Amino acid sequence: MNLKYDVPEGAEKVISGYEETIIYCLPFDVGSDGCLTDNCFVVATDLGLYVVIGSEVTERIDLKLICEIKCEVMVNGGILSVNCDYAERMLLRFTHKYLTQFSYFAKGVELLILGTDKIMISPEPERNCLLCGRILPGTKKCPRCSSRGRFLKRITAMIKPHLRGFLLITMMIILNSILLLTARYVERLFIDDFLIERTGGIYDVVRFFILVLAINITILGAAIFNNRKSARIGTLISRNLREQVYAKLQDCSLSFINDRRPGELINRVHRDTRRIQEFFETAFSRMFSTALSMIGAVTMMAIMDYKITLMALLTAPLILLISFISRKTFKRRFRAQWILEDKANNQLQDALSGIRVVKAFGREEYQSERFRELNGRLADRQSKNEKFWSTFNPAVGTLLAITSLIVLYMGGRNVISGVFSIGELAQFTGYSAILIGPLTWISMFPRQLVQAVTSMERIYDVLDEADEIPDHVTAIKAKIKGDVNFNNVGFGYKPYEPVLRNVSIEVKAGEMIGIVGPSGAGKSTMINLLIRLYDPDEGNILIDGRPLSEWDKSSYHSQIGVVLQETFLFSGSIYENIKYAKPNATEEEVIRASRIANAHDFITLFPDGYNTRVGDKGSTLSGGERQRIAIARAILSDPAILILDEATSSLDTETEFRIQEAIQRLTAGRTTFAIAHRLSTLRKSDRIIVIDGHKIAEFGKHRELMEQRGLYYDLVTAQLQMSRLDKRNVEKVGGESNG
Amino acid sequence: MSNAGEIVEYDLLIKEQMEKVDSLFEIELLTPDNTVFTRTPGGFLTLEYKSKTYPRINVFRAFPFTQPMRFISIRDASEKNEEIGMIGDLHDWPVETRELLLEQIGIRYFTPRIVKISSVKEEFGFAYWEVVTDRGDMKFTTSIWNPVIRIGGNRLLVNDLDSNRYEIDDLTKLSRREIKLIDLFL
Repeated sequence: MNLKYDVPEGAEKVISGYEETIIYCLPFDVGSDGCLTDNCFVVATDLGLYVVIGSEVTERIDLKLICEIKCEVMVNGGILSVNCDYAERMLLRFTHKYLTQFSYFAKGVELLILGTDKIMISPEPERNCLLCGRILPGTKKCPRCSSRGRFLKRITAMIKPHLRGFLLITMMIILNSILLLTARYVERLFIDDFLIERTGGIYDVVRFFILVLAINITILGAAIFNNRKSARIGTLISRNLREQVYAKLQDCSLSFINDRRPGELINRVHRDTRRIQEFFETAFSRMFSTALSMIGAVTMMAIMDYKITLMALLTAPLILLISFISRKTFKRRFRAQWILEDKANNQLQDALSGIRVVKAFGREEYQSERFRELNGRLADRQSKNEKFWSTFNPAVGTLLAITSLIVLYMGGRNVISGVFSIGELAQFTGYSAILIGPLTWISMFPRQLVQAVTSMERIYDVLDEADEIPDHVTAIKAKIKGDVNFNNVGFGYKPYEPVLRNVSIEVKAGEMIGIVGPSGAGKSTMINLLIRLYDPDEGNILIDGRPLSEWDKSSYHSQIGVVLQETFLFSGSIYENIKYAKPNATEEEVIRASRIANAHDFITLFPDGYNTRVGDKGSTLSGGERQRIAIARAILSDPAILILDEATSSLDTETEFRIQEAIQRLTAGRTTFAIAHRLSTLRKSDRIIVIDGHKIAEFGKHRELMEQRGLYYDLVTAQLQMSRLDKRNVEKVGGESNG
Repeated sequence: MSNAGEIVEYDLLIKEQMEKVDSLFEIELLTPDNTVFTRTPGGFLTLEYKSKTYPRINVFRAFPFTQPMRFISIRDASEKNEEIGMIGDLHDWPVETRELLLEQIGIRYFTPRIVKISSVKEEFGFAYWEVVTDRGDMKFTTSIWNPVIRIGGNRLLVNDLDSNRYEIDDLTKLSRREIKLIDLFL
């Protein structure tokens, strides 16, 4: 996002008068009176901070005077506050529109105050198209501004592998149109030559009948061929797209995926590719063939009598207009109905999945009442829509009929004045039907096209997305020894919410490091950086003395073992789940890992043993069982670095102890990072990191930290006391019941 | 000996914990009599309460939609927004203090009220709004799926893509044309 807008001219002159370099400039849209404005700016130079209103500089603050500058998030807005000489001051206000930019601005000014020449840039993509100001649908390029050429290019790229099929379809479509027009001509000959003149016998009627039948069967055959062929090609194209999008999504960085709602990405795989498929199936062949037939029909009509043709064409725009407007109304009405249906469904689902709560609190009546109200609204809407539909449909039908009547009337006059034969009149009205019939749905086409363009844009947004964490060109694929260094690492999931600041630690291969601290302090984030789900914003992480970013990603990941807080198991058997980390593992290896993880016993007791299905639609495992399977999965590949994020939190102390002992023996000589709330879990740790307030508060051996009497000491004594309290209470209760 | 000492220590600990628990049952109520709010030159508020001075406090609404003037939570900005106490009803407060608090509330909950909807256009899957609010004219963009939520009665909140919010305080006061524009979202 842009952090350096153009400074209004007058103000720029003033600022450059101070001989300072403008580094950042942002607009702010809430004035000091709380009203929206569009002419206010804040400018940061290498030496000062300026507030600009209109084209005038209203204030200058010397950077030297500022000891802190903060972007504070409020509801629907935010403020930029500066702390000058220990007096906090609200400098300006803005809406959420500029929130992200102001968070970077504050960070950037902080850097300026420190005197570094590092300049903040915001990697977030712009939300609006820079050309037309429209919102980008989660993509980088605007579907309106940049698509015309690209859309055609992409369509051609998709058509290319199926060129033969498309040529066939095109030929069939041409044949179809010609036959359609010919059929009317044959009818005319039949009427004029045989019926009017009465020259032919029954034999001619049969001949005519067979001819028309043959033409119609050919038309039917061509249409069926077309539909089948387009369906086939459409499915192939969308299958291909789906595969590509799916594969690409696996490679995309987590921040790309986290930035978008999961539902939206699922939609890109399914809905957007289906829209493209529909576009090829219906819009492409049907549109093309209809257009061709219509052009043919109009040409023939114009040749026969251009005046009537013009009359017939006169109503066409009217019909187009009406169907266009009505489609909008339909869409509006039926979407409203759809939303209500959705709400009613949700309500039902809510009540059913919460049935225990409903019954426990005795609120059945209330739930029914809520549903009754919603249901009433839905019924109202439905009946209104149905009424509208049943009025509208015949109305449009009549309009179409009137157009045919006009053609018939004028053609009839031609017949009487001898310009047309009766056969010609039949031919003419036949053509006008070809012309008018499809008018009602032709107005749908622009919308389908827009949908296809947008879908295409959304699909290619994923396909064009570069891996945010690109593999280094000369990626290291060596065996990992296990030295881990954090070098001034800073990171935040959102720019205005830093989660880690200035984290620096040195860990030697083979050490076990415990990580403790209050929830939300940044423990799991440290782990996320270490397993390279994200790259740090500042500083770097060294593995065996070399930056993590230089390691080959898949080689690195195959050498670390991870048990995450949320133990996710895929649909499949337990065996497949454990093998996930090392697909070529033998049964023996899997059993060994499970034994270490204390999972072997409960797995073999299942009726289906290691083949027990878990995950979606599988058998339900307890939290402890899932954790133990996850541990088995993590240690299966004999990782050089083992990461345990609350890996044993759902286990009882005894099991935890056993697993820990086993892991301890297994990981001797391997680096282990373990996060735990239960401090007893970490007693085997060589050193302990205490994270508090997004920073490393303490780092050292258990004894050292206890002697420091700092945060760690407090945590340990608090837990000890609480457990003693528990014990005492138990003893007390026990004593009372004895007495 | 040490055993006896330990027991005393435990009892102290239990007492301390129980006091903490006790404090959960009572809302710390701030009244005009036991507090002094002062506006700082920087535009924030300081509070003197129980012979302690808080250099900057933040003001929150517990029920922003349903009770905007009641249950106002006063929190210490320098101590991770820890709650100092609550104000029962702003109406009971002297005008000057009320104005001070409402100013802070207005900054925290910046919600322009829509007085006129000029146009709502749908393009490429987004709705583009042009409205007149009590804070000036505004153009914003919303999703077409549920951008408007009802917050009781006829009050509506419109959420835009930047997660700004705009309030329509009475649906029935809108003109037919305006209702038709937003009908789809209701």
